[in-house]
Amino acid sequence: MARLAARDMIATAALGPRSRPSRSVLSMLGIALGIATLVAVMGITAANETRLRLDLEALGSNVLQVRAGSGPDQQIVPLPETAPEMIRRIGPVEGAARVSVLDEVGVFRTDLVPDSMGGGLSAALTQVELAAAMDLQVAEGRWFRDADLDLPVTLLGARAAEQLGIVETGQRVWIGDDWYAVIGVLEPSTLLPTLDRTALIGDRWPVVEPHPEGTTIYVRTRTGSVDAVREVLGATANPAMPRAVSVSQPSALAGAQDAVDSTFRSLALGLAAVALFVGAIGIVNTMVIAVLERRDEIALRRAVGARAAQIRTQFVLEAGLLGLGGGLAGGLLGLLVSVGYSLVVRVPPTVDLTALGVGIGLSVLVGVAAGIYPAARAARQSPMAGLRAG
Amino acid sequence: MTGVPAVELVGVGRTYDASGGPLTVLDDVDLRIDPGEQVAIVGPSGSGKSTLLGIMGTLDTPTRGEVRIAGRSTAAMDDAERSDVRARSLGFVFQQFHLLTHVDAVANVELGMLYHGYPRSERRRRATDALERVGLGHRTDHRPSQLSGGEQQRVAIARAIAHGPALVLADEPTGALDQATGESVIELLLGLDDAAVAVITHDAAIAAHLGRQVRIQDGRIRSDSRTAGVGA
Repeated sequence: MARLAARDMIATAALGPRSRPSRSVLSMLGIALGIATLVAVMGITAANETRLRLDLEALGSNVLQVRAGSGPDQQIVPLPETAPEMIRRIGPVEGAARVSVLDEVGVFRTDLVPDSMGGGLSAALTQVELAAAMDLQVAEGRWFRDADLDLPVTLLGARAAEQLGIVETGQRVWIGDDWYAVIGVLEPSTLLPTLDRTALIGDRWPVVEPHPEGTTIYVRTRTGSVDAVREVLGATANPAMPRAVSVSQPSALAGAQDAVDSTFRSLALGLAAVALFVGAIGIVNTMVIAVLERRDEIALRRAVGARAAQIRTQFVLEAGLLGLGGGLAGGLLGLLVSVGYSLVVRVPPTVDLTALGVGIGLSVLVGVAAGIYPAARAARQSPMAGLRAG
Repeated sequence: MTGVPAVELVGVGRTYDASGGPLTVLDDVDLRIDPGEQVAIVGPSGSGKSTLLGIMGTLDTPTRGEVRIAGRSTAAMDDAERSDVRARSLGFVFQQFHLLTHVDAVANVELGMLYHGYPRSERRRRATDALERVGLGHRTDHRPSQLSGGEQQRVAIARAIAHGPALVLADEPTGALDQATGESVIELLLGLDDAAVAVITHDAAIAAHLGRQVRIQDGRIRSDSRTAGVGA
């Protein structure tokens, strides 16, 4: 019968805040701060997690090392030649490559230096896949191509190049008993710091047979799959003797960092809850004052036929709108903070729509809840009150 | 007069619980206003006029007696039903106009029909029409602060009649206006509609404009020009 259309209800509820904009904005502040905190905390912790993951990956948290282990007779069992290729076929493995360090081979600027005067540089055999698997960057020249692997060419680590006085590619160095042309110089690598002082040679060039102990297969897995990959590495690398394969432990850093982050998150979410609560009290105050100030308006509405329930709905909705306004402003502010923080810690900014939606929904709920008591007072007001001339 | 009365009060009394004991403001009031009738309710301050108007307008409920609006007793009605009666059958005009200050004239008139159930377009049409009838067709988009006191009261009258009520109740409608403006507002109110009109006033000159005068004092009707044939 005399029900109001949704549009009329909203327009009626919006009349109060519209006629007192500055007070409405002030009463939205608490909610806005609460929601801004909520959204910002979610964004910041997400950015922190991304940053942490990127950092840990740079430190090798998702890198496993596979070496030859000893068999039942305590003898070293060499890894099969096909092991890297087999490992690459494991689903979550993003890259794997073998590096074999040649202990007895010296690296020199010329063939005139005696082997006994090695400068602490070593030579190692490697595969084309190493650069991609370990994210190696070339500072000068280029990385190996498949055709280079059986040629006398070498890539030098940054320290090795410096020590050997190599300034451009094409210069030659003396490794073992041969001249090698330098095709590139590597950037220092945090994942494989030893490469810094190493001259890499393709593993099809016949220098000397490497010792099994000097051979390592570096395996990079997807984040979160390290343990799963670790389980199957032994059997994959050496199906005949899985127990004779040594696999490294991944870093335990990740767990510790997670704990720190969740403490921060609980603290900040607690603050957001306090801000929301304070915001709710602010809205209750504003609405109680509005009900007192608008005795005349309430009486007029009653006179022109508003039911008590419609007055109650009007003020509850009005409080809900204040909450919504605060939620929208706070959500926007929180997003800006999240994006700014992401840029500062250099991770791609992401918008957490769930946190945003939950935050705005929550602010409407808080507003509505804050409006219940003032609205009940408005609805209780006698229709006669406020109508007679003062 | 014949037919169903616009409003009928039978043995109506109203007693408040005051701190010094029960306070009777109205006692044993019988009053019948027929359709189209124009009645002045006069009496000194505190005589119970406004309480009487509130009871006739279903804004207040009597402690004794019965009120019938267009033949329907309000005694058994709940808040929603009484509100609907006000929305459909009654119109109010107040001394202080009671316009919303931050919306324009046509929106103020529309507010009078918000709870009636008309669709938006119908409210707008009737509001514009009512403003034409009170001579403010050219000021529909003015806010109350841009209108004179007399014009504001005309907006309030437009609000009271836009939905075609059976009874318009006016509480000191000229009280905030000067003599000349007050006279013209009363003329407007009385010349507008075929609705019954009840005007509360303490101004004998205003009361003289209406066809019937009911004098109230100490909560009782002392004279009624219709039943007693006595002028105010």
